[in-house]
Amino acid sequence: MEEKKCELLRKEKIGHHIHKLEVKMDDAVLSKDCGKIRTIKWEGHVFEHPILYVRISKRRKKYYLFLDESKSECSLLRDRFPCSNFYLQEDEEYVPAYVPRNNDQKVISFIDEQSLFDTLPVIDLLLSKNIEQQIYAAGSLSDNKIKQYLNRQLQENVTYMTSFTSTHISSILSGQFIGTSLSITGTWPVVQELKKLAVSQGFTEEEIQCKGVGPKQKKVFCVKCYSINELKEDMNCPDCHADLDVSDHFSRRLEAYLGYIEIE
Amino acid sequence: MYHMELTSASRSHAIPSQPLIDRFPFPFKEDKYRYSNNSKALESPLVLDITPEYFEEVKSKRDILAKTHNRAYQALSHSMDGQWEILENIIEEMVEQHPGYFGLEKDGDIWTFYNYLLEEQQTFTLGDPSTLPYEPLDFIGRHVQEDLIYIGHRNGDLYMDAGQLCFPANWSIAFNLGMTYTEFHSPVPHYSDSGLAEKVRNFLLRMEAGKPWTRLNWTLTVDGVLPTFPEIFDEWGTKANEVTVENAGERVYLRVEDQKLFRLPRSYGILFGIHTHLISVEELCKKQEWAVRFCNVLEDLPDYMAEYKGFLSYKPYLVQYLKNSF
Amino acid sequence: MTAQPLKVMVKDIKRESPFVKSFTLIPAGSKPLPGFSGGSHITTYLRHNDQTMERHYSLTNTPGRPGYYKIAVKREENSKGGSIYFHESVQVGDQLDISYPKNNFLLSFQGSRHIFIAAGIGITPFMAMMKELKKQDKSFELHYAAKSKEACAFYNTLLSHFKKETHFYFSKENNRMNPELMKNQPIGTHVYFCGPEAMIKEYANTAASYGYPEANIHFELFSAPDTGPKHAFQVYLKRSNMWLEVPEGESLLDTLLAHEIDVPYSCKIGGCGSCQQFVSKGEIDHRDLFLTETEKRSTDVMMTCVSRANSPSIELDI
Repeated sequence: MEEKKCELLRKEKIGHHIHKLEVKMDDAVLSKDCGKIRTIKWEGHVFEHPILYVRISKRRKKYYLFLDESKSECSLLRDRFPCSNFYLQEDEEYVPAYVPRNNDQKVISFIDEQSLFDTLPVIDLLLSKNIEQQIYAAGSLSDNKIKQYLNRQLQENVTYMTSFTSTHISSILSGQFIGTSLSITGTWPVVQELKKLAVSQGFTEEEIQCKGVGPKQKKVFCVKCYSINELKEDMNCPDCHADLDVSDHFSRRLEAYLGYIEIE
Repeated sequence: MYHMELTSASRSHAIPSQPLIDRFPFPFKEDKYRYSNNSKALESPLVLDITPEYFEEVKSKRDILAKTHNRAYQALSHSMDGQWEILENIIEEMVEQHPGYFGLEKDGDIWTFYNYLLEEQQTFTLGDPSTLPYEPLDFIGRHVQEDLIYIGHRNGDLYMDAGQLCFPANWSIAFNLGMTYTEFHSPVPHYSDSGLAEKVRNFLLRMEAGKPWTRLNWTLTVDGVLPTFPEIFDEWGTKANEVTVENAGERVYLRVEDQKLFRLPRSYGILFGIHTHLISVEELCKKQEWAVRFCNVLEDLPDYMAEYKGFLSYKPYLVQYLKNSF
Repeated sequence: MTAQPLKVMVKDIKRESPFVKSFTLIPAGSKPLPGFSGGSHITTYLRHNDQTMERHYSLTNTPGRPGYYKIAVKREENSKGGSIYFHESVQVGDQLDISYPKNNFLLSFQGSRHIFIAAGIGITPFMAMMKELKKQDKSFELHYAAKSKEACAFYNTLLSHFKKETHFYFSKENNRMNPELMKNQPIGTHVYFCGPEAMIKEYANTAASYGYPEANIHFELFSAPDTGPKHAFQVYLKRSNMWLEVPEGESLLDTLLAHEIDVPYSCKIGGCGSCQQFVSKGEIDHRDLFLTETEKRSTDVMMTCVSRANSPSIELDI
């Protein structure tokens, strides 16, 4: 992927470790509404560093970049970056926390401390598209600075909760109207639990987007004794001790892969 | 209403016996076999095929259901309407097509069903599952040789919502229950990733009542085991290692599933009936044109299909046996 | 490939409005009629002047296995004769050939709330769907536009059975139905439209703009949309090794049937998907409302009843 030149317009520290930069692309524009930068190059230095971007004006080629300095051990980056001009190279693989649907009227996002960074560009994206948004953040956000930033961006539309309880989430979901989509981020077990709740409240696949962080534990259905256990190397069923040949046949109902009996 | 009384002596003669070779549904129409939508319109729109193996197979089904019920019967609760519709359709067909074997008395919604072959009767109220000893699909499945699967049509897709499955070709209804058509076909090589599964699904979504479809599917089974459950693969799967050129004729069986699909206009689901027929290769070779064609099909068959159907390891011995036979 | 028609007898005829009559059909033989689900229709085969006219009518009685079918027919003065035949010639005691019930307008299984929007005779499928939902004690409402109370079929039935759920809009009283009624409906709401093509398009577009997922929008067409001139083209049938000429103004399906090629079909207006064929060569001018845009782009299938060739010839896998 080519390097694209940009110019820094403004810089703001929005969290203890998080910077928000406003940049203007020089010539070539970034490819998506919301994406990720893989490497930045400036004054001959090349850094691999997680930076997320969101487009705020197509015509004026303006973007916000979000940079988490805690994820870099390079003091140079912390102390001197950024200067006026630098080059960006995109990460094409990146999937944003949320991609707006056509005709979204409102987006409700469930986030936690780990997925907060991924949510930052989405907040600006939805603001730029005039889509109403409501954010529910679980766990204690230790960073007060970022809380202040969120409050400023979203006013009363952000709610902090110690954890997501199913009764509370159900009451949030049950009163929603058609045109509301859900963005669910966080660790996989929480994401899966929230998605189940949403489906039970009548949300369809089309209305839910999920992005989990961290490991996603695969489960295996033992065809011999029907128990479901976590996938391991050289799978042997902990209940009936059959050696299992784990296939990629998956059941959404059981949330498990089929393990066939393996014979010599 | 007249009820035919059958003594046990006359019972075994009740179903006309015809040599297997003369009634076996040989599945190969040409010298090669690939997956395709090989469905065709079913000329006579009947679910059931009653063969001389009736007593033996119905007994085997009932034994399996008694011992390992959840292995052979699964149903989602919303399938009940579809189950009743299947029961009604099958009983109506039984008494219309086989009045000598089955009978029915109707008193409004109270039906009395007679199985003269097995000397059984059951009175029940339509729509009231508490009047039957089992769920409707599980009940009627115990009177027929076919495995019966109910495919629900909902949310613009087809789902495996219920089924009584005693003679599976290595698939588990306990695992597959609730899956969409494309999901439960995902293990079939090249069927899903080529887009064929989706095409056939779209075709089935538009199936109409009164226009049933049929197709034959096939595989091989060693020693003619009908209940090839993946749950007991350790019991029958090892037999593949015992096949030799010498014993292939006797031990290897061609297994043909006569599959029939019916739109159920009331629940708008689909009844998928599977009648499994077995013939030993030795017997099949009595028709030389079948032996030759079968041999050509096997030789042409890609390894991934033989692997999926579970006979890649002994295919060379079987081919050699067939060649020796003609 | 076509199933044997069901033989029925007209048991009762009732006037529902100045232009709409209901017909109750019972089996002509001893075999009970198949059950049906809400939203089903039947095709009637009317033999008239040596021709068979196929007409589709929604079943309006309570779904399940009632043992009889009820249809409602609106007299269309500029129709091709089907509705006039029903209104003027069909008598109690007459026998008719009909198809098995077919359903291209199923109630959503996962929907938690159903909004039916009918214009004129578009009310018919909703009569059965509402009865089914009522039996299941599910949440629904009906919005029904007609010229006036007098011209409104099933007015009294609706008042007595679905008073709470029904909203009437009579244009003579300057009360017009507005697609805005679909706004701010709870998650899980499904909308269903039946009426003229322009009305369906307007409501479907509005529903999409409100954020209704595609799967929550349902409709049934009454007549084929006018999609422009029907030029002639050639078709090659690969498996039959046969060339056919589809003349100007005639559908590919009719050409196939005229040559006694046994192909499936049903609605003949590009709405049900029954007449789909696989295309192995050539470009298709898709004119149906059945295939999705993605399916249309993939160009390997077509609806033979309305779609045509965009190239001088096409090849079908028949």
